[in-house]
Amino acid sequence: MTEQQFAPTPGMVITARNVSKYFAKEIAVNQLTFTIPQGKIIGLIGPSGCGKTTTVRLLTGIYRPSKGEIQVLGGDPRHFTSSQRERIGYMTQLFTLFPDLTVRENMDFASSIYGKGLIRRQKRIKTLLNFVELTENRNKLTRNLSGGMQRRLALAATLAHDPDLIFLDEPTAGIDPILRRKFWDYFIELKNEGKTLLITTQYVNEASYCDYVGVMDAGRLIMLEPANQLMKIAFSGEILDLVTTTALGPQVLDAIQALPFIRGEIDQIGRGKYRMTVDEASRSLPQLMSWLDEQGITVEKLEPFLPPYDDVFVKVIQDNRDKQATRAEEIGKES
Amino acid sequence: MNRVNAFFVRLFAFFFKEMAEVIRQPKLFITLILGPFLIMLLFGIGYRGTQPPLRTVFVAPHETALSKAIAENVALVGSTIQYAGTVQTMDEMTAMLKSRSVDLGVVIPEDAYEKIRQNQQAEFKVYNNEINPIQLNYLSYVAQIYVDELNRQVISKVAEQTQADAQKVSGYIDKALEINARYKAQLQAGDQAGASASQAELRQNVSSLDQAIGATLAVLSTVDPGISTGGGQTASVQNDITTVKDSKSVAQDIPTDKKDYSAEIANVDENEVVLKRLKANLSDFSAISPYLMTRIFISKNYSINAIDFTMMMYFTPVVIMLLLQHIMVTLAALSIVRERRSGTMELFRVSPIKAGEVLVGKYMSYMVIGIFIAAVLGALVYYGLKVPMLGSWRDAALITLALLFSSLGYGFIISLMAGTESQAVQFSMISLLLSVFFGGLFLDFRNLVYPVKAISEVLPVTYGTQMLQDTMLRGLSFSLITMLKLLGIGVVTFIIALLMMRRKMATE
Repeated sequence: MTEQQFAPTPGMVITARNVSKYFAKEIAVNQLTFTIPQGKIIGLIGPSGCGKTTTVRLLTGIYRPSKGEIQVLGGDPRHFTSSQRERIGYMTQLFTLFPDLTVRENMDFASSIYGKGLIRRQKRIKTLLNFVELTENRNKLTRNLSGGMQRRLALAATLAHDPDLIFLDEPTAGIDPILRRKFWDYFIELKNEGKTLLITTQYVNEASYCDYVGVMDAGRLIMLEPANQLMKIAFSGEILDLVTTTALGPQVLDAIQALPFIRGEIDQIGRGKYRMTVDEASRSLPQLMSWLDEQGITVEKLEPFLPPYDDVFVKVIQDNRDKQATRAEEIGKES
Repeated sequence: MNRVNAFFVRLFAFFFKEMAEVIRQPKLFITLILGPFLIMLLFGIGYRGTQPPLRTVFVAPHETALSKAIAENVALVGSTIQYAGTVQTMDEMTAMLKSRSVDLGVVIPEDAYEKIRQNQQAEFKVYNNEINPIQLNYLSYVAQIYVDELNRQVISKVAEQTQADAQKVSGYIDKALEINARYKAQLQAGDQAGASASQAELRQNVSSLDQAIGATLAVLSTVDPGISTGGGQTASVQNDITTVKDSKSVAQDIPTDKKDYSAEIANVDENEVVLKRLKANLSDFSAISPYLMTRIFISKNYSINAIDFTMMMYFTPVVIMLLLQHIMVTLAALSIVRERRSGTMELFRVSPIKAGEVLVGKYMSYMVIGIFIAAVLGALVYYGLKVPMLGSWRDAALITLALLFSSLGYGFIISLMAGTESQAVQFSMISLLLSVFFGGLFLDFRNLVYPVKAISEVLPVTYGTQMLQDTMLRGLSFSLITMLKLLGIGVVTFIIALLMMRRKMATE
C-alpha cells in the first residue's frame, strides 16, 4: 500500500509522512510514509534491527522523529492529550510485568495508570482474564507463572483500559506455536471488535493473519500491502505448477512462454514438472489448461503454487537490496 | 471531577504497587527492621567505651635510683599505663614496638639530675608504633599525664622536706616564746641586765627563724589560697616575722635609766601574740599532706542530665537516622532504575500518567514503609535497649518524617541518574560513606571547614541526628531552623527529581 493508495483521509488512525529517525549518525528509520485505516490488523515484518520497534516508538510518542510528521488518532504523538493516550494500548517487547505482584494486582495496576477506578475496572479485568485464560491463576504471583502465561498476562494488561489502537511489539516472540495461534485468534477477535492493531513480528508466516503487511529492511518500509497481494508483488504475479505425463520439448516450452498471461521464464523443477509465473492464477489457469488440451498435451496436474511466506519475505528483501545496490551503482557511475 | 478521580487512582496505583513489592519480600522487610536493631544491640554489648591500658616498656641502660623509682611508680598514673618491663637498649624496645607486644616505649633520661642542676628540663622520650592519628593523640595525652605525674611526685618530695623544715622552724618559735616569757619576767622584775641579755638572745633567735622560714614560705606560697586575692597565709607569716623582727622589744635596746618598763612589757606581750599566731600558721602548713599539696585542684564532672548516658545511648539517634536515610535512599535509588530496566517506564511514557504522579505515588509508599520501620525500630530501642526518650515522641516522629522525605529525594535523583541497578547501589553506598564521614557519626561536623563542610550541610542525616539527639537525650524540642533546613533539602531534591523524571518521561 503506497502513499497514493493510502492517502491520509478521515478514518485513518495513523498517518506518517517522510518520517526518519537518527540516533547520532545512525539512521534507524528512513523516509517512512504510510497511513493505516481503523479496524485492521497491520503486521510489520522485517529482520532484527530493521527499525520495527523504532517505528512503534515513533508512533507512540516515545521517540521524536528527526524528520517528517506523524498523526496518530488525530494528534501529534509528541503532544498526545490524556484522552488520546487513554485510547492507546502498548505492549513492549520485554515483559513489562511486576513479578512480585499477583496476576490480579498486575491487571489492577495496568488499569489504574489509565485512571480506571476500582469499580470501573472490575468487569473488564474479569473479562480479560477469561479471555487470556488466567482466571484460575489470578491470585498467583507473576514470578511463578510460566513464560506463556506471562505473555498472556502482558497482553491482558495492555488491553486492560480497553484501547482503540493497540501497538504490540513482537508479542509472539519466543512462544510456542500453539500459544502463537491463540494470540492471533485474540488479535482477530479484537479486530472484529473494531480495534486497530499494529503488530511487529519476525515470524513471516504470521503475515497471513494480517490485513496489511509492511515489510521493513534497513530502516525502510519496502512495502505496505494487503497480505494476499504480498506474494503477487514479490514474484510479479502468481505461480502455477504444471505436471505432465511426458517431458515437454523446448519448442513447446517456448510456446507456453509466449502466451500473453505468462510472465518471465518457465522453470523445470523435475521431470515433466514446471513452475511459471502468471498475471492472476484464477484466470490464467483455465486458459493454460485449454491451450494444453488444444496441443494434445496430457496434464497430470495444473494448480496454483503458494510459496511459504519465508520465501516471499526473502524474495522481497533480496529484490529490494538488489535494487538498492543497482541504484547505488548507477549513482556512482553518474558521479 | 473525573480528572481528579483519575489523578488519585494513578497515585494510589503506584502507592499499592510499591508497598506490595516490598511486603512481598519478607526477608528484605525483616532485614530492614531487624538489621539496624541488631547493629545497635551488638554495638551496645561489644563496645567498651574505655581505652585498654597501654603496655609500656622502659629503657634504662643502667639501673639508677631514678630509673628504678620511675618503673616502680608506674601504677601511680592509674590503670592507663601497664608496666611491661624495663629493657636496656633502644633496639630491644623498638623490636617490642614493632611486634606490637607493647604500645609505648619510654626512654628514661640518664642525665636527669645533671640537667636539673644545669637549670634545664630532663626529657623523657616516648616512642610508639601507632598509625591511627586519633590513637596517636591519645598516646601523646597519656605520655603527658605520665610526665606530669612524675613532676608532681618530685614536687611532693620537696614539699615533704619543706614540712620537715617547718618543724625545725616551729622549734625556733618555741624557743622564741620561751625567751620572750623570760624577757617579760625580767622586765617586770626591773632586771635590766637580764632583760638585755634575753633581748639579744631573742634577736638572734628571730634572725634564725627568719632565715629558716624563707624556704618554707616558697613552698607555702604555692599552696596558699590567698595568693589569688593578694593576702592569705603566706603574707601573714611574712608580716608576722617582720613584725617580730622590727618590734621595739627586739630591735631597740632597753633603756637603762628607767624604773617603769610597762611600755616594753606591752611590746613583749604583742610579740608573744604574733609568735603564737606564727606557730599556729606553720602548724597548719605542716598538717597539709604533701600529696594534696601537689594536687590541690582536681576536677569532677557533673551532668545536668538526669541519666548517665552510655555510648550506645549516644549513638542510637545517629544510627537510627543514618540507617533510615540509607534505607530510603536505596529503596528509591533502585525504584526508577528498575522500572527503566524492566521496560515499564516505556509503558508509563505512552500512558496518561504524569511524572509527578509516578513520583508522588512512590514517595507516599516509601514514606509509609519508612514510618513503619522507624516505629518498630523506635519501639525496639526504647523497650529492648532501654534507650531513653526524654523529649516528646511527637517531635521525634516529625524529625523522622522530615528525614525520610529528604532522603527519598536523594534516592530518586540517584535512580534517575543511574543507568543500571548496580550503579544505583554504588551511588547509594557512596551516599552512605559520605554520611558516615560527614554526617556526625564519628567526626563532629563542627570540626570540618568549608568547602568540605558544605557536604555535611546537604546531608539529611546531619540535621536529623542533631534534632533527634536533642529530643531523645536532652529532652529538648527540635530547632525550627534545623527542621527548615532539613525540609529545604527535601523540597529541593523533590523538585530536582521531578524535573529529571519529566525529562525521562518526555519524548526522546
